[in-house]
Amino acid sequence: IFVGTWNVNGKAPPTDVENLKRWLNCSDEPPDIYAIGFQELDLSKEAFIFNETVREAEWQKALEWSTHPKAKYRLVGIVRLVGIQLAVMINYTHFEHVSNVAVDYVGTGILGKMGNKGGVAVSFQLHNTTLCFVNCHLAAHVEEVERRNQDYNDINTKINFKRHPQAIKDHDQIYWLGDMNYRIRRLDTHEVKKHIAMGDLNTILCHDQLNQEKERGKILAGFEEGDINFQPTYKYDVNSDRYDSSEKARAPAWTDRIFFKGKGIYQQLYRSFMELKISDHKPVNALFRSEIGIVNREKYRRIHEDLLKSMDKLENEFLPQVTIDSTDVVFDTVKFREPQAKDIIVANTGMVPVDFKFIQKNDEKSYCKEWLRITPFCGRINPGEKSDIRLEINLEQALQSLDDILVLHLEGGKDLFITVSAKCQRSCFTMSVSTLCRCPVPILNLTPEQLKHAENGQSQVLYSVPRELWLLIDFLYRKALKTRDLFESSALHEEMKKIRECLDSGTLDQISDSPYAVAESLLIFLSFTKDPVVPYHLHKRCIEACESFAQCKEILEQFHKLERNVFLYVCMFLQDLLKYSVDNGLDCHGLSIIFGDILMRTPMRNTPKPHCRKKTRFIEQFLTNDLSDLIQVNKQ
Amino acid sequence: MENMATRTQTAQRPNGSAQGKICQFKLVLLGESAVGKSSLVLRFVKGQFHEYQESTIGAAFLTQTVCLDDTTVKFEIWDTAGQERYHSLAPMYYRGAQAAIVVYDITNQDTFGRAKTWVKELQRQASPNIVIALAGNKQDLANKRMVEFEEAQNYADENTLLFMETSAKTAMNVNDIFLAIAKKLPRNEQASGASASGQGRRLAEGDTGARAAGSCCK
Ligand SMILES: Nc1nc2c(ncn2[C@@H]2O[C@H](COP(=O)(O)OP(=O)(O)O)[C@@H](O)[C@H]2O)c(=O)[nH]1
Ligand SMILES: [Mg+2]
Repeated sequence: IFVGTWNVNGKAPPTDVENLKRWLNCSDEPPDIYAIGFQELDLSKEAFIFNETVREAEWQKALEWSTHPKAKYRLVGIVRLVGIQLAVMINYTHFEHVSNVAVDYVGTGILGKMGNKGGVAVSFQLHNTTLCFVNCHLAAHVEEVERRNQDYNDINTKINFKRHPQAIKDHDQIYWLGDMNYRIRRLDTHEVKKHIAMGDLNTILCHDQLNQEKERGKILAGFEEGDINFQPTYKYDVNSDRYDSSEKARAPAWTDRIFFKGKGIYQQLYRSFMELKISDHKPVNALFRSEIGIVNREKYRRIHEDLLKSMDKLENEFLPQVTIDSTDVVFDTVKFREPQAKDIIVANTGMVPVDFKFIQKNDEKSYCKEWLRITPFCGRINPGEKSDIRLEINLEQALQSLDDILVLHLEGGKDLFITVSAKCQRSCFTMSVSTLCRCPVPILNLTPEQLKHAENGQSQVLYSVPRELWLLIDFLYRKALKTRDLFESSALHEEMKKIRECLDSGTLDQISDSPYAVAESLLIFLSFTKDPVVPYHLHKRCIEACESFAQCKEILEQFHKLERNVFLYVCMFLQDLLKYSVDNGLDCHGLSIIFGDILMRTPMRNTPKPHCRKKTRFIEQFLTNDLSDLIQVNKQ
Repeated sequence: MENMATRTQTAQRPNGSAQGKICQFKLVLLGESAVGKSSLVLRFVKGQFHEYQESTIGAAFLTQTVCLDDTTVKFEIWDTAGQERYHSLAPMYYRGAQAAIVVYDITNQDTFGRAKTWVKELQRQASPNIVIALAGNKQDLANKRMVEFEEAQNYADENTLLFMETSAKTAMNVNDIFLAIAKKLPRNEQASGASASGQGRRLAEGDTGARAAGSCCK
């Protein structure tokens, strides 16, 4: 890498580029990279204020003519702030390995932009090594050491390439060049010149402000510089090798310097070049052998793939894993409102905690059917631990069999399918009134054929109300007219179960011993008939008509005959019950609330119940008015 | 997470190469049970084969990355249960998949018929640009062959499916079929080579959602 710096004092390039060539060709082999920094490229007002100059193009052309003849170069990046310019060129055979080029500048003059002091930088990546070149021109005058330190630090910290690597310090290799403008301290012009004449540079170098400031840790921390074996490069009379002979007679100084920082940089040359005399500065250049990291594609690829493989392996190993003791849960024959439960055991056999959750299938509303309950339906299991999940079924519909597939999803992992199935035993509960009125024998004794015909309404109507309803009400007529709190105290599950079995199979003459169980069974029977006793489509009209018995009666005529029978049969029974209210403590309003809610239930279970008061009122009409004319019609 | 990884990779990739590009795709395996779906995945992901492969009850999930010249393709593989009773659940897995491998067993004509119905279902219900590959598995049992290679090849050609006969047992064509799919999947335009401006596109924060399968990012 050839790094050069030259304060050209606003001069145009020489017309004869011979000396320029000699400066830039200091080795037999062509450098791979040229980084050339100029200062005071243009001292005109235009350059100063508008940052415009013709010099840039002129000098760039001159450089292009003068680079090493054994190679062709391409520009990597060029950046200029007023007169501070930096161009980086690379042997074009390397150009394809250059990437990520960025430039930036920092002005340290007024407003940070105007003025001719500051720094410019070019950053790029060559193969796998990031390089940064900085060219600066710091504040002038002997006494401005602090100012120069500050300029340096401003440039060093404020240059920002707005991508990675961002700051100067983030690069693998940094080359810092420029007119640093540090002078010689406590030696007057005369003394300096004397030492130079004697060839004693070391004495002067001891008084070099830059070396002193660097030693004090104020600037260029970590940077190295080659040994200076050339005489001070400033300030000369133009077109001569004579130091400033003007009245000011400034003391000569090594204002023009090159530093480097980073791994694998070996300096081979550090010199000034006396033959270029157009400026009051002599150009300085260094030559470096710098190690550039080259990616071995094959190796990179292999490592890349191996890495991905081991990441896949890790990822797969750390996926959540569970086993389930049974993925096929079969329940015993399910009967109406006789809940059954089974537990499945989910064991975390993986390496990570598992968050599980039952998820919906496709477009279904819930993660399981309405007859199933899963507790818990989501949760966490730690590695090596197990969790019981309870599946509970409760049948309240007329279904022949229960089938569901549950999808147990492990967060971030697989899904497991669990099938749940059961056969159902049919029951008179959940049947329609129409079917029951057509059944010649108890429901469990029906042949499939008989059931089918009863269900689709093909067979004859045999009873005006379902036989089962009659059995329940008849029992209450006989045994419970004077029983207190009839519809309010709940019965034992066992008693209820016995009644259901009895009604479904017709095995016993006496369906129960307990009036309470029979009363509750009646409520359940009416609650689970396939359709509400008062047809749903008439509910709205019933509610509107609830204050007028005449209108209520009209609506009753809209009922199907069998539902109408059931409705009147129940109401009559309730009227009869109320005759004994002194004994049984029942009152009309209370019964109307209970039966309004049941006889006029909405098809959807577990939904809010609207218009309760009006439904109560509708029933009340039929419990307080004389129904005999309606029944007369019925009997015909 | 994925975002971060992608980003880091971009920053560290060697210049001029585009290996920082990662595409993630969801791939689903379909086909009658016992044709060798799980075995193909096991061979592809772990390089193993089990004579007594446990049957899948659910949808197993694994990931595997393959490297193409310029891209890294990460498959999220869903291996589904083949039994008919779980058929209705299949859409949960092929919906949103960018690729599907429909597998049949070359020693069993029925499974080929079933594979055809799967292809039909995918063509109707899955994403319109899903890449479908047909795999005639158990090629090592060619002496008991019931489905002719040409028959399957013709069918695949008619339906523009990728087709290979595979063997999870001998590993024949297993990597190849996944690679062929990876190559056929749509990817973003190739990254430009070395140039002064050849910097990876930066992802805006939250540019790609987590598990946003099928999105290519450099
Ligand atoms: N000979 C042979 N057997 C196979 C091959 N692939 C799978 N199998 C066997 O076929 C059976 C079913 O395989 P499996 O992967 O469980 O099928 P899946 O139900 O489609 O997932 C297992 O016993 C496997 O060992 C194959 O390529 N060749
Ligand atoms: Mg399987």
